[in-house]
This record gives sequence, structure tokens and C-alpha cells, in this order.
Amino acid sequence: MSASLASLMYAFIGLPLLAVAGLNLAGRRLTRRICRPLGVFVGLAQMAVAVISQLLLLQYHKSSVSFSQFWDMTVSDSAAYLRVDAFSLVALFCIGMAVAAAFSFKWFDSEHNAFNFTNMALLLMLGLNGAALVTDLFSLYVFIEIAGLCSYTLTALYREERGLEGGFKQLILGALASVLILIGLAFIFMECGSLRYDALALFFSEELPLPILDYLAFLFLIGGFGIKAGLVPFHQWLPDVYESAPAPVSILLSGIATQMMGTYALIRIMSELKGGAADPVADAILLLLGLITIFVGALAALAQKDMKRCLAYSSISQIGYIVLGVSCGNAFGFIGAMLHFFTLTLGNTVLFTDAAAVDLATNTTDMERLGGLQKQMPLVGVTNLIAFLSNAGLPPAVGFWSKLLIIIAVWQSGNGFIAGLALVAGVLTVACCLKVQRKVFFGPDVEELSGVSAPRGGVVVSSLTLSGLIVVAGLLIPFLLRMLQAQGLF
Amino acid sequence: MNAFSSLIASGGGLGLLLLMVALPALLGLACLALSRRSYGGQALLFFLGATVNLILALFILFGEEQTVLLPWAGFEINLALRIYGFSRLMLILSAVLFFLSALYSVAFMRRENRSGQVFFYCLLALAFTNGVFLANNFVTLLFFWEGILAVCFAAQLYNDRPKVRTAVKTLVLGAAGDIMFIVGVAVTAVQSGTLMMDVVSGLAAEGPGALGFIGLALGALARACAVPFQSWLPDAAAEAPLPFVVTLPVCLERVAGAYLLLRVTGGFYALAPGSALSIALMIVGVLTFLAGGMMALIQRNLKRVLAFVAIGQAGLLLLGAGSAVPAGSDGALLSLFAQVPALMCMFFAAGQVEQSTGSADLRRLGGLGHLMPFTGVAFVLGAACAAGLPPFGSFFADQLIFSAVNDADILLYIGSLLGLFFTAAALMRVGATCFFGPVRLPEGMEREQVKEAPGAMALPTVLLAVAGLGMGVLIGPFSSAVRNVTGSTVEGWSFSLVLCLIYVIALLLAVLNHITGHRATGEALRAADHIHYLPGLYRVYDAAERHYLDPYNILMGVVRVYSWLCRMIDRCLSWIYENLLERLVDRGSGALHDLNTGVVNQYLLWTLGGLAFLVLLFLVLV
Repeated sequence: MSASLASLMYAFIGLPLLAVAGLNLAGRRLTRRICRPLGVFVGLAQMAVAVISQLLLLQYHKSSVSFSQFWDMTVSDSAAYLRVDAFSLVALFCIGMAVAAAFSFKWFDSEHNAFNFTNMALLLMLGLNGAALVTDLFSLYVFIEIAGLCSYTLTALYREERGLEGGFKQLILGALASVLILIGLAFIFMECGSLRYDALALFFSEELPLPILDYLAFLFLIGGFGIKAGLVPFHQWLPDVYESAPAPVSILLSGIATQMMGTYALIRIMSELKGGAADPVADAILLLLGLITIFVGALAALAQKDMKRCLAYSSISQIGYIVLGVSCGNAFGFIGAMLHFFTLTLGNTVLFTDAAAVDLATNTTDMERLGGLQKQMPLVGVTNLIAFLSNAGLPPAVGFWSKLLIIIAVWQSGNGFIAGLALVAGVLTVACCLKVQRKVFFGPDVEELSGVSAPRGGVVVSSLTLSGLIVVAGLLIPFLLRMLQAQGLF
Repeated sequence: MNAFSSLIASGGGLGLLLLMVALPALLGLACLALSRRSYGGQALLFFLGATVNLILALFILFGEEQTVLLPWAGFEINLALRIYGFSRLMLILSAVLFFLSALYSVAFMRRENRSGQVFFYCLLALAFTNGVFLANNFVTLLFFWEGILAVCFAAQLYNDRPKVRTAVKTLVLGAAGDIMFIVGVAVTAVQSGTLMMDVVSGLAAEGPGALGFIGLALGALARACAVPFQSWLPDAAAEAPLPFVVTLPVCLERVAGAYLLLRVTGGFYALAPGSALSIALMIVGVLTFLAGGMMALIQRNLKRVLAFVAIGQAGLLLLGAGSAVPAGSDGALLSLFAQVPALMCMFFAAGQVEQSTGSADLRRLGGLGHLMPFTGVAFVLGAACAAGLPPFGSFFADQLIFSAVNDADILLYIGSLLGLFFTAAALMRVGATCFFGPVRLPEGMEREQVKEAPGAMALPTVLLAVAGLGMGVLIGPFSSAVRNVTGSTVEGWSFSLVLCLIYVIALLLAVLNHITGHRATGEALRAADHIHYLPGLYRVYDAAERHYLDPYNILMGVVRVYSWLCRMIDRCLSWIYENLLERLVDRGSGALHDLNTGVVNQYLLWTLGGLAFLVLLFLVLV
């Protein structure tokens, strides 16, 4: 069984690698046609493999599967390089989903750009997949760097001023983050002698109180991954990048790349290390950062005039919730953070796809120039509303449950006041949602937009499907939670 | 009769008790369903309801004690009914009075509109009142208790001449009392640990028990139209259809209120004579008696006078029940038996006057005794009974009450005597104005047009008038019979001759006052002007006439202040939400927006600052 399950897991590495190779080996004429279908196929295939893997795991009552080199499938857990568990499968599913959404509509006019985008997006996918599969901190760092390099390039894909500026900012801040992470890893390695998750968990469970070097390592890691995730006060680059990047790149970055490079890594590190100890100092720092991020993100979103910038700030606020969940150090917190990771990927993908649809139809995302689009594009308006309300945490969307779990976790960890504040901050997200809906969709008609035709095809299909998934996942939450419980997550 | 008793004992009791509640309600609905054209059918059903109710009450009176229990909502909330001495007495009293009222109403409503509605309300009120007497569970009691208020409200809102303001006043005052009643029920249930009424007995009226006692007593006061729940009655009496006024507030509500009051003071709670609560209850009684008498003295509408007299009489019940001595309780019960027929009789006479002359304004009426002799005689008899003249039944009842009040406090006794004086003076003034002296009729009305009431209306009026006299003449056997049923232990009559003499002097003073006032002004209607315009008292009367002393207006004033406060709080909150928070959010988000300059150097500085902040935080925490 294990071998057959493990062989399936190679698809997560193999699919993007083979797709990149195939794309570059195919003739120029063929390449022109297959870029988008290939991206969608790879994304959907990854989603399917993730779902099948999860079902197989459930079938065999296993919580994870470890695997190594292709020629040595039946490797023991302690020697394996790669591992798949429920959380990484959720992440892999989300990666597939965002990639499929980014390729779902035609954006690039020039073949050259489309070709480059496909190559870089698939490599980004490879990096992200790797980050989800690895079992040691250094490999995590390496894959995040691969993904990071791809994302800088993608932002500057057009090689025009704004994109280059965005990519440059991302590169500078990303480099700083890499340095911080590397220093953190070095400190940990100095203390522990290994960077493997299981060895670290063992080490931290025995070493209490932690040596000062480990605290410093934590600080550097939080700083480094905080920059990658866009936590306040390291967030300034994020809205600039989301705004300046081409629409499909925005979807990829906001939907999955930032999440994987920042929040996923944070959740993973904290949850793996928590296998041993719960450190109150690191928890307190994360709690405070999370709360600040929630409020600053939501408040700043209200002042934005560009739709994509507004969405970017709003997503920063949501990342704050994930960090808040991680900081609780209890099972509810991790499950809540993980679910909110899923919620945010889903919500952001829909929101940025809708922004792309608006951009496609009107050639702008400036909310001052938009208005009354609900008549021309009712489906986009409705899906946007669903995604926003899910992010704001309104039932029956999946976002309600994830936020609820996080707030319960914060409450259980003895921070009732902060739980209340986090709850109140949801109002700001709703206000932000209302602002976008009113300015873009429900507001007074704008004369210049009267001739705008409704977007069709992939962009609407992808947005509709994903917003449907938001509601369905929200309704099926008891089933999903029971599934996670069966795998021993809480 | 014995056969029926055995039927009750063998399980027929359940059906009988339920019938007492269900039958009037069903017949009332049938009355409502019939159209105005079939007045005969409506009248027949109404009269049938009253008659069957009387027969059932008679069966119950001579039947055995019985308890039935139907499970309902769980948690000891059951449909529990019980027949025992006191409830039997109340059932038969209300049934007889309702029967006479029905006889009168059938003849009265022939010339009025919406007869079906009036019959429906009266029968429904009868059903609920029967329920109150039979209830043996506090929740069941609450259900029927609130039912009476609901009928009272609806009857004023949906009739031929709907008066929304009076209806709302009735509802607000009644509901205020009933909220207290609910609190009382809750506290009593908690104190006694049960909802079954027959188990609750002799609770101490102290500490939390005092709250339960006050709540239940206030509920009873609201039903009996005592101060401070009285102010709707004069308005309703002047405006609402007469059968409704007589049946509900004057007869059924009064009997229900007195029933509960006597059960609270002498049953559920052991009220100590001379205790603070007892004195407080008696003070409210004196105030009610005084207020009713004093206000009756200056009214110019026949029915309003009677309404104020009725309010005053509720004070007597309170004085008796509040004294917490057996003589007082017995006096209150006997007073109930004497005053309700007397009040009904006077209202019936007033109804006949109004229907014959088209007016109840005392300024336009006079000397009607010549034109309507039966009505005149009945009114005078009723008034004499209500005023407590010897040898009417109320005289004897009053002696018991007054002696109990004298034992409690001399000031209360003096207050009661004043109340008696004012009531007697008011009744004399209204009787003399309306039925004696030269004939005076509303404009355009000829003597020939004024006719004596038809037999069906005159008969119950005269019967009620004679009842008071008969009760007085036969007070010995009557009071023994009542005591047999209630199980009271007091034997014989024990009031002092001195008090009796003082009582009679007070009545004589009222007569003297009337005669001198009449002579001075030359008009019976203005016989009390010297009291009305007495320096000092005039201001009180003026304030009362302007409704400044109306508890409803005072309550509404409090409500207005409360709503103003709420509005202010709401406006403050609105300002906080709409201005302060909005400005804060605007400024905050604007500042955050401005911080994002797009310059990468600054981003780096921010990041480094953030790292420094983390280090600082770490140092603080570690």
C-alpha cells in the first residue's frame, strides 16, 4: 500500500517538472496553443491527486506518508526527505487551485509573455510543492527561495516600469528575509545539530527553558517569514506588488505564493516544534504581531482607492488571523490557522480573479472610475461578495468556521480580550467589503462604463466554481473537521 | 343533587370544571359568529351561557371538594383546577351577578350596535374569571388572570365607539399591575418550592417573601381597580358600552381581585396584624376610599360618579383584607357581597336614565324619579347600600372593617370615616340631582318621551337593590352561611357600640352637609361646592381634574423621561458610531495609507524598525 501511495506522491514533483520540460521541448507552434490548457490541466491534476491522496490516507488510516528517492520508495520515516500529511495535502490542493485559476482566462496578448508566464508559474508551483513536502527546515528554505525567485520574475514579467519596481521591491525585501531566515536556521543548527523536523521536535521537547540562541533563532525566523507573509510592520511591499503585477500573477501571489512562503512556513515550523514545547515568549510575540496585522491591514484597506490594493490590505488583515491562531499553541489554534489558510487561498483567488475580470472588462481597477458594474457583470459581483463575506467570517461560508475556531482557540489560551478584539475587527473587513461592493458593483452607474460587456469564459467559470466551493466547504465543515480528527490532527 | 355530587366524585369533576371555563367561551364565540340581524339568536346564546353557568355553579356549590390535574408543559406546569369552599363561594357570587347582568344586558343591547361583540367579551370574561376561581396552579392562574386583562383591553378597542386612549390606559395600568403579579408569582413559587396553589400556605411576608406578597397584592389591586391602578375606570365607564362596564370592572374583575387579595393576605402569606406590610396595604385602602369619595363628589357625569364610588369601595376591601385580622377579612368578604350588587344596581339605573334621556350629564338631568319611579327607587336603594346605611348589608360589613381599622391605627380610622363621609355625600348629591326636585331634561327632550325601563331591565335592577336590603335584614344567617363555606372561625358579631355611633354620625354629617349645601346654593348638584372650593382643597381638586394626579399620566411622564434618556443615550452612541469612530477610522486608515510611500528605502527602514521592535518585545517578555 505504502509504495503505491508513495508513488502517487511523486506526481507533486513530477507534474510541474514534466510540464515545464514538455512546454520547452514542444515546437513553437504547439507551445502557442498549449500554454493555458497546460496550466489549467496541471493545476486541476494536482487538485485531483491531492484529493485522491487524502482519500487513500483515510482509507488506510494513516496520518502521513513519507517517501524519498524514486528508487527507494519504502524508506523509513526517519530517513525520508519528503512527507505528505493532511496539512500539506490541503496546501497542495490550494496550490493546484490557484494555478488553475491563474491560467483559466486569457490575459497575455503576446505569446512571448504567455510562454514566460507559463514557465515561471510552473516553476513557482514546483517550489511551492517542494515547500509543502519537505521534512527539514533547510529544504523548506531552498524551495521557498525557488518560489521567491519565480515570483520576483513574474511580477516584472512585462518589464515595464511599475512591474520592475514591484519586482525590485520584492527582491530587496525577499533578500532581507532570506538573510534573516538563514541566520535563524544557523542558530538552530548550532544548538540542535540538525534541521530535520523530527529531530527539532525532540530537541525542543527536552530543552526547557530554551537557550537564548534558540530565542534569537525564533526572532529571526519570525522576522524572515513575517516579511514573506506580509505581517505588519513588514508588509509595505505587498500591496505595491499585488497592484503592479499582471492579473494572473496577482492571483498566484495573493492566492498561494505569499501564503505558502510566509504563513504555511510559520504554521509548519511552529506546529512541528510544538510537538515538544509551547514557548510562551514566541507565542506572545506572534499574538501581538497577529493582532496588529489584523487591525492595520483592515484599517489601511478602507483608505485604498485601487481595488487590488484594497484586496491586498484586506488579505494582510486575514494573515493576521492565521498568525493569531498559530500563536495559541493549542490544537484548535492550528486547525483554525490551517482552515483559515484554506479560506484565504480560496477567497483571495476568487477576489483577485474578479478583479481580473473587472480589469479585463474596464481596463482599470481604480475604484474612483468604477461603479454600477453589477448590471453588466452580476456573476462577478455575487462571487466577489461571497468571497469577501467568507473572508470577513460570515456564515455559512467556510471563513466563518475558520475564524470561529481561531477565536475559540484565542479564548481558550486565556486571551479573552484579544479574542473580542479579533471578533470586532471582522466588522472592519465587512466595511471594506461593503466599500468595494458599493464602489465597484452597486454604486451609481458610470457613463464611460455603459458599453462594458460582461466577461465570459474561464474567468467567470473559475470564479463561480471557487465561490461555490466556499459555500459547499462551509456547509460540509463538520465532515471536513471529522476527517481531520480521524487523522489525529486534534 | 346527590347524584351529581357522586358524578363529580367519580371523575365527572374534570368535565364539569372544564365546562365552567369552556362553555362560556364557546357560547361567546357563537355570539360573535352570529350576525346583528339575528339579535334574538345572540341574546338567546348569551342568556343561555349565563343560565348554564349559574346552574353549574349551583351544582359546584352543593357538590364535594374536588381537584383535577391535566399534565401540560412539564416542570410542574399543569392545568390544575380545584373546587373548595372559597372558590365555590366566588363562583356562585359571580354566576348570580352575571346572570342578572345578562338579563339586563339582553334588554339593553336591543337598542345598541355590535351586540354580538359585547356578549362575546362578557362571556369570555366570565370564562376567564371562572378559570381564576378554579385555578390551582400559579401558571394556570396567570393564564386566566391575563385573559381578563386582554378581554378588558379588546372590549374597549373593538366596539361601537372605540376609544383607543382609554383602551391603552387600561392595558398599561393593568399590565403594570400584572408585571408585579408575575414577579409575585415567581417569588412565591421559589419561596414555597412549588407551583401548586393548594400547597402554598402561610409563607412569611418578610425578606424575599415580602416581595412575593407585594407583587401578588399589587396584581389583585390592579384587578380590583384600587389606587394606583384606578384611573382608567371613570373614562371607561363614561365611554364604553354599559353591559361591559357592569360585567367586567364592576362585577367580575372586582370579585376576582377581592378573591386573590383575600387568598394572598389570609392564605399564601401569613400577614401579621400591625406589620409594616399590613399598614401599607391599609394606607393604600384609605387612599383609595378617600380618592374615590372625594372625586365622586365633584363629577358632573352620572356614570363617572358611580365609577369613582366603585373605586372608593375597592378601598374598603383593601382595608378589611389588609388588617390581617379575621374580623377585617370577614368584613371585606361581606362588603364584597354587599357593594357589588349595589354598584351594579346603580349602574343599571344610570344605563336606564341614559337610554331614556340620551344623556348622563347631571347638569341636564333632574327629577327623574317622577318619570321613572322604579328606576329612582332602585337607585336610591343601591346608593343607600353603597353608602353603608343601616340596615343594609354593607352597614354590617363596614362595622367589621372599621373596627379592624380602628384596632390597627386611629389615623387610618379617621381617614376611613372621611372616605365614608365623602362617599355618602357624593351619592346623596347625585341621587338628589338626578331623581328628586323639579324635572329637568336634555334640550329637545319632552317629558312624554322619557319612559320607565322595560321589565327585563327593571327586574334585575330592583332585585339587586333589594339584595342589599335583604342581606342586611338577614345578616345573621347570611354571614353564618358564608362562614360555613369559607371555613372562617369567627363567631358572632363583635363590634363596639361607640364605633357604630361614630359611623352613624359620619353618615348624618354627610346628610347635613348635603342639606346645608343644597340650601346655600339652591341646587342639589352644587351641594358640595363648599367642599370643592375649600381653600387648599380646591388646588388638589384642580390638579386632579387636570389629570396631574392620574397615575397613568405620572407613569407616562416617567416613561417619557425614560424614553428621552434612551434617546439621548442612543444619540450619543450614534455620534460615537457615526462621527467619532468614523473619524478615527478615517484618520487611522488615511495615516496608514500615507505611510505607504512606495519608496523602497523606507520599506527597508520599516522592516528594520519592525525587527528592532521584535527584539525589544523579546527583551521585555524574557
